[in-house]
Amino acid sequence: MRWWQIRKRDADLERELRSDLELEEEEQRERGVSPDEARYAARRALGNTTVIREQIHEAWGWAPFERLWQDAHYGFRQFGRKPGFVVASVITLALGIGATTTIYSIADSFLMRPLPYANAPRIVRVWNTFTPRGMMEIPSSEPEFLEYRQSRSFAHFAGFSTGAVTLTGSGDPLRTAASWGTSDFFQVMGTEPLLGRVFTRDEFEPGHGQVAVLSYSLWQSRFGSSPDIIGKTILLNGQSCTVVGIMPRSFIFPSNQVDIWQPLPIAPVSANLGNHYLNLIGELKPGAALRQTRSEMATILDRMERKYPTYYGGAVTIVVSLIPLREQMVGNVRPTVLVLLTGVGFLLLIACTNVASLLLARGEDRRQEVATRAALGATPMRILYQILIETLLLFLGGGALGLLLAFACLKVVSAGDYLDVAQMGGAGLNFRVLAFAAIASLATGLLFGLIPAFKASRSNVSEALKAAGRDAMGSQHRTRVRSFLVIAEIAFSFVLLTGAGLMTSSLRKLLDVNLGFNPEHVVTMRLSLPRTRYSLRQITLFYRQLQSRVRSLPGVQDAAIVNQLPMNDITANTSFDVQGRPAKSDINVADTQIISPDYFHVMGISLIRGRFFTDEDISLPPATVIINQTFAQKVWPGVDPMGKQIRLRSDAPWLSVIGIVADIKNHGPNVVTKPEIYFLFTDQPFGIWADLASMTLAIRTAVEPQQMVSAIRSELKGMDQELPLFKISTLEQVVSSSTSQTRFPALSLLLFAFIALSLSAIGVYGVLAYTVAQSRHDIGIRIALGAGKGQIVSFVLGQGVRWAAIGGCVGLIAAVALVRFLRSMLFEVSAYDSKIFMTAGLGLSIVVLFAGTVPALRAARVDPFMALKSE
Amino acid sequence: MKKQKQERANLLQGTLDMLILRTLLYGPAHGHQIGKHIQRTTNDFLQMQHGSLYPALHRLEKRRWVVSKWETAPDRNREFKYYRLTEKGRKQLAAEESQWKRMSEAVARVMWPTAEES
Repeated sequence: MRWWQIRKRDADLERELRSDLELEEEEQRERGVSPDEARYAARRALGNTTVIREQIHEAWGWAPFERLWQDAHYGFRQFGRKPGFVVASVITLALGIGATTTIYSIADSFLMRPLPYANAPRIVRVWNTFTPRGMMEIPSSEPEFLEYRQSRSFAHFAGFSTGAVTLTGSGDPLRTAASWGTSDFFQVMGTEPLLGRVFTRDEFEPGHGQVAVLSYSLWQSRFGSSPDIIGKTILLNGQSCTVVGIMPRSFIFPSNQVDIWQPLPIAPVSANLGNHYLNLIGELKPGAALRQTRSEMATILDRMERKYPTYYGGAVTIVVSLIPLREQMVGNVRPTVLVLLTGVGFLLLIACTNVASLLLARGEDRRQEVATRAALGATPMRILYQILIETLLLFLGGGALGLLLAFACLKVVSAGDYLDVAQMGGAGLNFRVLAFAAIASLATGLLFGLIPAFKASRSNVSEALKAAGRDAMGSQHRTRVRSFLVIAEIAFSFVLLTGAGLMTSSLRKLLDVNLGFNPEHVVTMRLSLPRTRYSLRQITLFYRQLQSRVRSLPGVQDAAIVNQLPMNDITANTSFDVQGRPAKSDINVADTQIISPDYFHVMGISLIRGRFFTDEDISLPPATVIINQTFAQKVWPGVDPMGKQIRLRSDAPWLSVIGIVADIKNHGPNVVTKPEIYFLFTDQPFGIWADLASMTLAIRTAVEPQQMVSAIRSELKGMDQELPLFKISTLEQVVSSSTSQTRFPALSLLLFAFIALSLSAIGVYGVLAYTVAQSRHDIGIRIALGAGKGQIVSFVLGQGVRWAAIGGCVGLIAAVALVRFLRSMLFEVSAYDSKIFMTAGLGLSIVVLFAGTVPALRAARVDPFMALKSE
Repeated sequence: MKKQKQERANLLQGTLDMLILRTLLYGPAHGHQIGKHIQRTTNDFLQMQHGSLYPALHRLEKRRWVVSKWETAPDRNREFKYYRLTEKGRKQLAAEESQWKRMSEAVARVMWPTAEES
C-alpha cells in the first residue's frame, strides 16, 4: 500500500467500521433495545472513530503525508483569510525569483552551459597579435597556417574564412553568410552532420569543391526540412553546388549567421604571406596543456620569422596567442554577466528580506492562534512544521510565478538579442535553470522562513494569550529582527542604486557623445554584385546608376555609396607613405572608407577645410583623398595638410589631400576616433585592396526611413532580378547596437534598483505601520500626557531615519568594495563618482522618509481616548 | 510519564496481536467476529472497545501476518472484510505464544512460589 492510495484505503476503512457498527446495532436490537438506544450503544462499543482512524494511518505510515496535506490545507485556508499578505508576498518573490532566473539563464548560456560541440572544451582559437598597431586578432596567411599545422599538440587543426554568398534558383535570391573551412574543419568541432555527410578528402582538391553543407535554419526556411535535399544541386553565386549534408540546429560555428559551409582547398605549399584571411582553430590532443602548446606555437612563429625575414622584418613583436573557444565567445561579456548576476542576487535578497519581514509581522499577529493551538496540545515541532510548510507554499507560489515572469523576460531578451546571446545558442529555460529556480525558491524559503517560523512556534503561551498584542512605542524586542531586515534591505538597495547610477550615467554619456554625423532619417542596406557577371567597370557604373534611380524616388533626399559603414565590426585599415618622409609602416596606419561624392552630405559630416569630392573627380585618374581631423593632427601636426600627398604602395599614385572633415566616432561612441582616409569610389586602381563589388547604400529620407525599403528594392529589381538586398537597417539602429553592451546592463540594473527601492519602501512602511499599530496604547498615553503631534511624528520618522543612516553606511561600504568590478563597463564615469554615491544616498533617504510619513501621520492622529478605551 | 504510557500500550498491543492471531487460527473472520469472540471467551474481562481491534488488524496486515479480502458472508447476502492468517502469521503466533508462556510462568513463579522452593 503506497501513500497515494490513501483515499482508496480510507474508503475501505470507512466501510469496514460501518459494517462493524451495523452488526453491533443489529445485535443490540435483537436483544430488545430501542433503535435509537441501539445505535448509541453500537457507537459506544466501537469507540472513538477519529482516534481509530489516526492510529490506523499511523500504522500504515501515512501520517507524515497526511500531516503535510493537512498543513498545506490549513495554510491555504489561512491564505484565504489574508489575501493581501499572500498577494504582496507572492508578487515580491515572483519579482525576485523571476529576475534572478532570467539573469541566471543568460549567465548559464554564456558561462555554464556546455558548448554544443563535442570537442568544445579542447578547442582553441589561434591568433597572431601585433600590439604596436593595436591588432589583437590577426587572421593567418596560408604559409602561417601550413606551419602552425605542424604542431604536435593538436589532434586536428583547421583554418576557415567567412564571407557571404548569394543563393539563387528557388525563390527570391538570398544573400547569406558562408564559411569556407580547410579539410579538418568539422573534425576540430567534432560535430556529426544531422543528415548526409561532411566533406571527403578529395573534395578539398582544387576543382572538386562544388559541394556544400547547409545549416539547419537554412534547410528549414528554404528547403522545408526535406531530407531529399541531400544530393540535390543549388546555385551559389551562380555556380552549381551539390548539397552533401545538413548540420544539426545547435551547430552555429563560426557564427549563427552562417548558413552554408564549403570546402577550402589549400595548396601544400604557399608563399602568399600577405593575405591574412584564415581564422585558425585547433582541437588539442587529450592531455596537451595549453601552456606547452603556446610555447610550441611560439617556436613555430620564430621559425617563420627566420624563414621570411623580409616579410616579418620590422614586426618583431608579433606574438601568437591561443584562446579557448568559450573564452573567445564569451570574451568581454563576462564582467557584464557577473555584474548582472550580483545585482540580481541583491534584488533576490531584498525580496526575500521583505517577505521575511512580512512573515515576522504575521507571526506576531498569529501569536494568539499559535498559543491556542499549543494550549490544545500541539507540540512546538508540529507548529514549526506547519508554519514552515505555509512559508514554503508562499515561496513555491512565488517561484512558479517568477518562472513565468522569467519565461516572458527571456522572450524579450531573445527578441532584442541583447548581449548577442544568440551567438551562444540563445538563453532559455533548460534543466539547470529550472533546477536553479526550484532551489532558489526552496532555499530562500527555508532560510527566510525558518526564523519567523521558529519565533512563532516558541512564543510563550500564557503571555501571548494574556498580552493580547499590546506594546509600548519604542520597545524594540518584538521588532528588532525586522528592523535588522529593513536595514539590510536599505543597504542592498544602496549598492544596487549606485551600480545602476554608474551604469546609467555611463549610458547617458555614451548617448550624449557627439557622433560627428547625423544618424536620423538614414536607411542603409548592402548589395553584392557577382563578379562572374560584372566587371569592375560595370560594378561602378551599376552602383552609380542605382544611386541616381534611388535619388529620384519621392521621399528620398540623397543617396550615397560606401564600402563600410562606421561602427561596423569590420573596418578596413591600411598603411601608407607620406611624401618626403621615409616609410614607417608601424605608425602610419589609418582606417579607410571608399565613398561616393555625396557620402558626407548624406551622413551629415561637416567639412572643416578644403572641399568634398565632386562628380568630375570620378572621371579623372585617382589623385585626391579626404582625411579626418585626427589624421591631420597625427600625420601633420602644426602643418597645413592641404595639398600634402600620401600613397598606399610604392607602385600606386600619389594622392593629394583636398579636404579635411570633422572627426566621427567611427568605432562606436566609446572608442577614441582613429585617423581615417576617405577615398573616392572609382574603377581605377589607386593601391587599395577592397571588395568593390559589395557596397552599402546609405539613403537620407524625408519620410520614415524604413518606409523606403520596398521602393528601393523594386528599383533594384528593375536593374537586376537576381540581386538580394541584405543588412537593411536604419543608421540609428547601427548606432544603437554599438551601445548595446552598455544599454542592456544599464537598463537592467536601473530596473533592479527601481524594484529594490520600491521593496525597501514597502519594507520600511510595513515595519513602521506595524509598530504604530502595536503601540497605539502607548501613543495614546503620550498624547494624553501632552506630547505634541510633531513629537509623535518625529519619533516615528526618527526610527526610519535611523535605519536609513545605518543601512546607508553599510551599503556605502559594500558599494565601495564592489564598484571596482563595474569599472571595465563604465564610460567617462569614475567608479567612485561622489555625485552618484550622494544621489543614491539622497534618493534612498527620501524614499525611506516618504514611506515613513504615512505611519507617522497615522500615529499622530491616534485619539488618546479611543486608544485607552479599547483596553 | 508519556513514555510510560507508551510502554504499557505496547505491552497491551502485543497481547492483543497475539489474541487476534490465535482467534484467526480457527479460520478467516471479520473484525466484528474477532472482537465478539475475544469478548466472549474472556467473559468480557478485557472490556475492550471494538475500535481498538482495527488498528491492530491493520498493523498485522502491514506486517503481512494476515491478509484481508472483502467476501460475502456464508449466512447472509452481505460483504465483510475477512482476515485470514498467513504462514508468516502462524510462525509469529507460535513465537509469541511460547514467549508469553515463558513470561507468565516466570511471573507465576514469583507470585505463587511452590512449597519445595521456599
